[in-house]
Amino acid sequence: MNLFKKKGEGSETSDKHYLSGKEIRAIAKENNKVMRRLEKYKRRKAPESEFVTEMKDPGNILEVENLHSYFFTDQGVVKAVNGVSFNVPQGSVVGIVGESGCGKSVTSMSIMRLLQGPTGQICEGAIRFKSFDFKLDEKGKPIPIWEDDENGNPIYDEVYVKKGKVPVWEDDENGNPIYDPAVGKSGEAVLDEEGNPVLERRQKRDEKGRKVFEREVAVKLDKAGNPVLERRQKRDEYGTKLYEMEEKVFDIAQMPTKEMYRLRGRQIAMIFQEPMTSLNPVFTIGNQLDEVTLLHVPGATKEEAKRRSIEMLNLVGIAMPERVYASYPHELSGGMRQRVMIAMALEGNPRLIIADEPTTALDVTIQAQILDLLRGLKDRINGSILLITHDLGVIAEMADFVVVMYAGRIIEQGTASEIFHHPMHPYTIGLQKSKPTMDSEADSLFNIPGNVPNPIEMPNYCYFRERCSGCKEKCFGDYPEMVQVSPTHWVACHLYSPDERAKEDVNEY
Amino acid sequence: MSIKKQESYQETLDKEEAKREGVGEYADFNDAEEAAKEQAARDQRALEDRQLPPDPDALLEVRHLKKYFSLKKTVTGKTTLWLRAVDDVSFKLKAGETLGIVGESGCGKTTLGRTILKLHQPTDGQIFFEGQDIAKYKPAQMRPLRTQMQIIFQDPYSSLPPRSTVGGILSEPVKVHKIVPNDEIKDYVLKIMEQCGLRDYYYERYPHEFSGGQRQRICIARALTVNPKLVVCDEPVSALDVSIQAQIINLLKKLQNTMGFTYLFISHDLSVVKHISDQIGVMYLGSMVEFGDKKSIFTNPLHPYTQALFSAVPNPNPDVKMNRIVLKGDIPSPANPPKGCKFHTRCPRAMEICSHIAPVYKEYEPGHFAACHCYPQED
Repeated sequence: MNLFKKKGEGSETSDKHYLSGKEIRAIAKENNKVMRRLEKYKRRKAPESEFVTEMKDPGNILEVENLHSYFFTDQGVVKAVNGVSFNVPQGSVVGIVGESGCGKSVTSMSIMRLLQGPTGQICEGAIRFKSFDFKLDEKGKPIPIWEDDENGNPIYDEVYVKKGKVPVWEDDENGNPIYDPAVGKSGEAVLDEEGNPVLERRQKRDEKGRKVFEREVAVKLDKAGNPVLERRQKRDEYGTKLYEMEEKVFDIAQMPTKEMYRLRGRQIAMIFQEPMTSLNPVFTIGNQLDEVTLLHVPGATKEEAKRRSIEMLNLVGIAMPERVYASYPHELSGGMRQRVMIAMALEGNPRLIIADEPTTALDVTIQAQILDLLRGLKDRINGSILLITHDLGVIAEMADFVVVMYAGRIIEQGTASEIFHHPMHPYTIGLQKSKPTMDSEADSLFNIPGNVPNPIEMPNYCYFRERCSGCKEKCFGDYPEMVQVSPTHWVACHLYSPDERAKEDVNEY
Repeated sequence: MSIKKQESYQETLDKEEAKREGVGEYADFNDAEEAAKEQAARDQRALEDRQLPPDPDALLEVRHLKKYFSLKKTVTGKTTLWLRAVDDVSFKLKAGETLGIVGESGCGKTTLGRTILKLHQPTDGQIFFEGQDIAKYKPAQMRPLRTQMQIIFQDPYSSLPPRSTVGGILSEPVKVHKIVPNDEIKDYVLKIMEQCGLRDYYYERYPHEFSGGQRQRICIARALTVNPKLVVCDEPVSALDVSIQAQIINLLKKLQNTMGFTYLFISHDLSVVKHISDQIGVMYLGSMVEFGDKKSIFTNPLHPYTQALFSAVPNPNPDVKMNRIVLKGDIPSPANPPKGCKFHTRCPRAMEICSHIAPVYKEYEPGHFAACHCYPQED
């Protein structure tokens, strides 16, 4: 048998490149130039006017336009996201589906600007996000909202400072102090010089037997001895100070990395796939939750942060939030950890939540709980969700709009009912047919032959060509353009291109 | 440390629950005494069943199988805390059929599969394979039987040796078990590879050169080389993408039709199990809570856990609004399972009796078993 001469002939893995050392060095040199330029661009100091833009449609909260995110590896440029455009309308759930290696996660990481540099870079395109940010004065500080009395005059409060500890005494019913004979370290009564027992006033104790103390609070005085006055600021239900807000549209792709702190956590939050690796094992849950508030809400105190954290844990349906607040991640089960992750995402009061495979690591019954929770939360916080998953069932249940990705490109997008009832692209149809469902009785499953191609140096033809059963002569030409089939439904396939549609009935597929 | 803390958290939750429930008619019920009585009755049943001859129709028959792991030991080596991974599981599997085992993670389905293959030594119970009880067999006695029973593992990335070629991986079991003469091994292996959809020039390649789906095909081919009767598939498609999943499931079905394999298919994905199985067993915390043929389980699920599990599967149709049964809480720790019925802490139909007496595993329709207090317990 002549086995070894056939290597690479029509094989599914023949797209693997074997490069010589010389070639690799040449690629690396070329890549270094590009990466250095892009890294420098990310670190630059830029005035706000450089990255503030306008939304194309004011009803959207996020617009991604012609996004290109590449990884510059020594094997070549991996075009993980290659010209992706989609919108997230305000208050809706947009789902991105695709198999692994389709660029779903890289899209979400690009929106958060979390691509691992210097290899991973956004090379082209715009990500416009409508943020609701603090209004800044000339010095770059947020402008507070003051609370006024009925006549519109400002209210001034005295400022209190904390001083030393003061014991809390226990009194009898009439309010008189109680005295007990003092007890020494060895348990004997303490006597004074005359032999009488020494009396000690009884102090309040908590349930563990420790003495209760109170912080002494005093009015803050200036050097002249007059009380310092401070204008009263409006506060929200958690006691956090309020500041003036304004709507601004940022182009995330153009923002310097430092400016991203204004958006991450506060405006856009992310729920990651693997809750155990996303939580820090050496800090308590409470510690990690408080950190978000302390970082993103100016002027928040530790008490306010704790109150807010516990409220958020309550919101995500955790019984006994105080208990969880004090525990470590390893003490919780997978479902609980994912709830904590969701609570952490809600902490900054974000307008957009990116959920990257939030239920993939969970069991079916826990998945049902988490999906229920996300659906309820969306209405309560009036936010939008970008849901990334490979499970078509989850998408069908949650999403209003669906984006189907394949090898770094969008091949079809539309409303959920369009995608599920009238799928057009052969890949979307194949994906739906290949998933066994609870009410289907088919004997053999439909299957798409082959694998997702490795997106290194992709040729300029339809990437799905080798796996497609409806492949035509035209598919060996250029990459198909996006074709609009209904006001909300777009598909990138030659089967639906205008001149092709006129020729024959495409529904035959 | 971690186990202890987690328990105490669970305990406090339980206490809160108990406070809310108040005291009912089972208030002065002696749990310990009743549990001992119940255990005695169960042991008696097991003892009676032990005398029965094996079913001649069944390729595999499992009776009262138990696998306990020791968690804590005293200085003298006596175990004080057991983890009951598989606790009293019984079923029969006919030749050429597929039994699907479903359950959440931590319910003992993988341990069940491995114990049946004697990769774990069972604590108690009987495993009849073709009429012989292999539960007490020693490793040396098991070796000739290894050609008859094989396993396909979940993770195709870690279950293939990285240093041998595909040809080496596939010809090793053939050599060890002397399936064909030495000079025919290569042709034999190439024939098996062709059946599994692997091209012949893969023979000289290494596992790292393949994608997940191809690797899983190599794992399947490795199991086939010794021509087994029973193949345990331990979550063979969980690590794969949807389109690759369909390829592997179709391959498994095709091989069953052409070569008459019997599968024990372990998975947490109900839709996959429904597609491939003839019989289905639902496990919860080490026990089989429901068992029956596919049709009766799916049209008439008896146990509330089965009902909840079925309703939790997302439906890929955006217009269908399902009335879903959402279970509260998580699966309890198998080291400290709840008293009475193990499911009563999360059961939407829990009654008072459930927290005190464990239900009997009984046949309610021909071939359809369930263990639940919602159905009559007496004969």
